[in-house]
Amino acid sequence: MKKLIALILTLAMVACLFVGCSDDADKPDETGGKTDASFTIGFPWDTANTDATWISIYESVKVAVEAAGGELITVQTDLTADNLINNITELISRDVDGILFMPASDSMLPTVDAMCAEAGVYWATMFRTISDDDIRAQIYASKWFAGGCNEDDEACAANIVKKMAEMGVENLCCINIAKGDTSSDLRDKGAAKGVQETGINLLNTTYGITVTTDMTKTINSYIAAYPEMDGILLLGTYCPSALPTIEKALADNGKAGEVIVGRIDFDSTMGDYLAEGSFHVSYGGQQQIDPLMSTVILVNKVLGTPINEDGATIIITPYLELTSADEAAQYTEFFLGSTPIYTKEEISQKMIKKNNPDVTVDYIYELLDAFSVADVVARHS
Amino acid sequence: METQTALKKSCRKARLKTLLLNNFSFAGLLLVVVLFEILTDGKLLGERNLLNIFNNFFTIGLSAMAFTFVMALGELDLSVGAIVGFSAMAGAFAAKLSLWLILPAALLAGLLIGFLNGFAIAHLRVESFIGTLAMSFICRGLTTWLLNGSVGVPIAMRAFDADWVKIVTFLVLLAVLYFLFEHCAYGKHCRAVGSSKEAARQSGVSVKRVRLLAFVLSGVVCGLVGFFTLIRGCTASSGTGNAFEFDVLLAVLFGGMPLTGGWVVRFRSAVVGSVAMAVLKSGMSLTGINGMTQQIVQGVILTVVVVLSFDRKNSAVIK
Repeated sequence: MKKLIALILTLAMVACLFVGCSDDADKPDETGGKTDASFTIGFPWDTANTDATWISIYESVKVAVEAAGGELITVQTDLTADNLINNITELISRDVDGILFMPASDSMLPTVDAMCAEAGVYWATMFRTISDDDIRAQIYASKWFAGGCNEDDEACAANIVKKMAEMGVENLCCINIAKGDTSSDLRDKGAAKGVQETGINLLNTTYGITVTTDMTKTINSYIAAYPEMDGILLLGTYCPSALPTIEKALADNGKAGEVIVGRIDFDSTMGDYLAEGSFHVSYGGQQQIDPLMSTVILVNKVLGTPINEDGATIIITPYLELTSADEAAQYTEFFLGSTPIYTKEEISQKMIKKNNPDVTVDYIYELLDAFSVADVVARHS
Repeated sequence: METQTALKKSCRKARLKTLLLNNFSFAGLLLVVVLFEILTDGKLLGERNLLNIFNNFFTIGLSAMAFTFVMALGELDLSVGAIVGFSAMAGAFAAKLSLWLILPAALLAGLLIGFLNGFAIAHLRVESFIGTLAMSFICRGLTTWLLNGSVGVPIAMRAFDADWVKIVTFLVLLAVLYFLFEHCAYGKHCRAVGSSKEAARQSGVSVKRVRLLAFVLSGVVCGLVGFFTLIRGCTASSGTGNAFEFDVLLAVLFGGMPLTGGWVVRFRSAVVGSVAMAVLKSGMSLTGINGMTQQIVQGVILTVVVVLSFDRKNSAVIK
């Protein structure tokens, strides 16, 4: 009986190997390999996250790839350095022409560059700058690094702290992404600068909260430990529904509206709290423009028409400031809605160099200077 | 006559059930391979993807083999991922002194945490579920605090990430651990303790020593995994080894390893389950299944496998 089962299993195993020899093997498909699209871009992303902002990031990348005539191949990741390395290996094995990802740290980048150089694959980063001088010099000199787009995290954090100080905050508590993340470290640095310049008191910073229960506990602890706290700044987080959780914890303690709340990175729930007066200021808007521009940088490089012909294309996006419920409503409708901040046609005509030879770094900065909530509303309403 | 026929029928039924249960890990692997080979038009078993599957399988497979000893005791080790992260951190710091110290430092860190786990569980009688969970928090906290960000190692270390190095390492460890589990007294002692601690004690087995060593072994192998994780990405961060324990647990369960431990635990479950997990992940990725659906699929598989492999004669599912 055992021999019979072993024989059946072996035959089935061998039979399925012949699937690869069928005529359909090279047929274009939706997921991998060469397709009708002229090129493919690999994108490791947390597709299990259903947060509106995360979905809009994916949509921004997808629309930019498709605008250039390519196809996006997404692989699931938890965005940690070791997982991203595995994702990149997988994407290389799937013959992609370019890879876009959000680095978990500077120190992983030389490895990525070595892997991509070996496979002849262009790569680009989004949201993150390279803080380490040696690594930056090495990566910028690489032929395979197309470039990246990121916001000025340090300046943004410093500015929002100053803004909150202007609003009357004297004793501030912060929440940030886990230490080691490039943006987290820079935002920390910026916040420290803002604190130093304004003279306000930074009571505490909590890092790496990823679930709402921990967020609630943190806010409750802040309220219990620091009765003098009059400001909470969410410098960054991967926790879903972070703002509603903070607002709920404050309301439960009778502190809603009493404590000034600010955050970096817009989200879809800000409008209600701005209208209620329990949320006060947000700097952001880069969640959609950063990945879109990073993709534009990469696809232009893959198409053989790099935006900066002398090396990597690095774009720093400005932060948008949002302080009213009306602006928040517009943001939700026009940034997180079904239409991306730039449509496929707009990207194709304005940002793809083979269609528009005028595309240069300066030209991209001109587009970014005009970019605002009002600009997107005017173009798409 | 009728009674004899009924008896024969019932015997045949029981034999078939035993056969299916005994080979259900192979059947699961085959099902996954055939299914995704068809769904991906033959890309799953393509040369490049096979290497990719091996890379996914390598670390999970290593840990799963050592995890078998812990599972045979009827215990759990939820600190596996945290030990990987901690060992990678130790290796990254050791690299600042000398590159030759990376591997010893990672192994030593794994050994230390494994020993602490084993001591707490065997000598202080802490439940493994709670003890290893607590150790996981301690290791994660220490890793985050000591790293204060991320630490890189020279990219030249990627030379050790070569496929042949990993294949040789895996085969050597496979041979050693298989021999230890299936043909040495220690493996039998682990299963005897998992089956009945009291019976094992009365048979002259040093239960405390057996339990301690299983966690030490698991820790050392996690140290090795930490080393390979470190040199693969040339970076150690607070996220290194994140949720790795669930990958390992899912792999051994997928291989049909019962949570109850004892004599029914088979070494092959770890290997077959790890291969099946790696194929499943690669297959789902190749077919473009999104992350949310992947989680649902893994959850359904876990439930089905535990229902099938759970030894209902024992009352405790998780000790």
